[in-house]
Amino acid sequence: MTHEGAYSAVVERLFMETPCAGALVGPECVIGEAVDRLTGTHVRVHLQVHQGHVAQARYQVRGCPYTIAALAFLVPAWVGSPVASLQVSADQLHRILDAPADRRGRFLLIEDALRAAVGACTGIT
Amino acid sequence: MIYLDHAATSSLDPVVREAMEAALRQAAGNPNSLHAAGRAARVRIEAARAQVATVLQTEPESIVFTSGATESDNLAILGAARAARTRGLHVVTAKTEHRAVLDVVSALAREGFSTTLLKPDAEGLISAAVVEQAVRPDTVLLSMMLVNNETGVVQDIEAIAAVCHRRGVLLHVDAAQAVGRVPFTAASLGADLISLSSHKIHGPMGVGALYIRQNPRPALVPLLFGGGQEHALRPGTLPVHQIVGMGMAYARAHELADHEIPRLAGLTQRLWRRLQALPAIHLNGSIRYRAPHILNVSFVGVDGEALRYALPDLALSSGSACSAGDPESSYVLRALGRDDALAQASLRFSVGRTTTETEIDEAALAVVAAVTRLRALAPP
Repeated sequence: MTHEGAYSAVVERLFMETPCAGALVGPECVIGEAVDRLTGTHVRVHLQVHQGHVAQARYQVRGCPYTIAALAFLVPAWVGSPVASLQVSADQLHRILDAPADRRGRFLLIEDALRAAVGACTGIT
Repeated sequence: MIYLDHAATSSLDPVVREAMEAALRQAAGNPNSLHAAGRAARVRIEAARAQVATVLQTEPESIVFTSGATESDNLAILGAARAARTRGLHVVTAKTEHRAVLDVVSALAREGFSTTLLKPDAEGLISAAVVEQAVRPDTVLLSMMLVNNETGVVQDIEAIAAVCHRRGVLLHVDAAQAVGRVPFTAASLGADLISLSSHKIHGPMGVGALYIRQNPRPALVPLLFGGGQEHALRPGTLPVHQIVGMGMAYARAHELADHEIPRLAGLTQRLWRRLQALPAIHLNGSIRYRAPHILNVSFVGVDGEALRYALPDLALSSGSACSAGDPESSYVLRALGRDDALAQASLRFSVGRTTTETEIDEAALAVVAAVTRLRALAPP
């Protein structure tokens, strides 16, 4: 069951602050995207990759508060990490955000967008 | 908190509260008892009945008190259809009706009635011609709301009533959102049965009424048994203080209507003008045929749940009903042709007697800021 208004303090802070929201444009930048037409959720992940590591990361999102909060939690932590190590754990997101079970699909959408971005990194050193 | 959800419920008018408190201070008396205390309670009940009847410009005998508009809808639809089942087994209503009507019509379907749900046009209107086509020789009842609770669209009940009368079909009208907002009388609507609410117009919750035309009087099968109160249609001891409150709320609505109706219309028009600072928004429902107190707007390109979450200081309703799982988008807005995403990204603003222009301006600023922020977050 989802009860709007029962969001955790973590979700509230991340939703309001949305750190690293935005887009990246440049020669070392890649985009990964995923869309769920049923819910209208649209996730776009931007990575700037230098020597196999994430130099900068951003996201654009149209989605529920949990989806926005999940990206605001994940994306800043990617900066400095090897691209090959990037991953999304839906279980971890559920735990940290205290998210209801029905939001799993939204978190898997973020994983899809990240995979697409990582896949687009091929050839970037 | 800015309260813009008066179509859901409205605050108790202080004058109504005083009348209810005075009734509660009176000695206990069952209005059906013959002693002095009972007779005094009966006097208060009949005074309230007259106050409600005055708003509809009808005789007090035509008003039956219930627990609310939902019960009135149940009594009208189930009662009239069951009473008429030897004449026919077909009932007509609209896809945009309140659940208190749609679920009752579904119950009739389970009893063997066939049902037709009329689809409105893109503005939410259902024409008399559409009704004419839907009515069959075995149609016994048509139920149509006067003011839609989500969009505020006002149906042309007078024209629909003409069709019903010509074709020998009983007409039930849910007018829960109309009293004090849209001028009407029982005669002007031409309905056989009219459901009335109390708490939507600054009266108490837990009480409502059903208007029943007296000449000719439609046959109704009661839903409850156990006493002869309310012409044996609604047995049970009458809640005197609540009925007194409803009567006073109707008297107040009647007294204030000339001032309030244009003021409410001014508030929703002001809100709509300010929201139009945003591109890509849609007014839901007819701009011409609408009640003054409801404005329903869809916002393209934002998630509905995120929009509601971004407006913590506004008390309003949205274009979705959150049940199990993801919020389900409004069936009313979908009936008007809105897709799921747009229906979910909709807000219903409903103003009332306590709403001020300052609140409208603050609400508009908050909505414009929230939508702008969420659109800026989204991919182009």
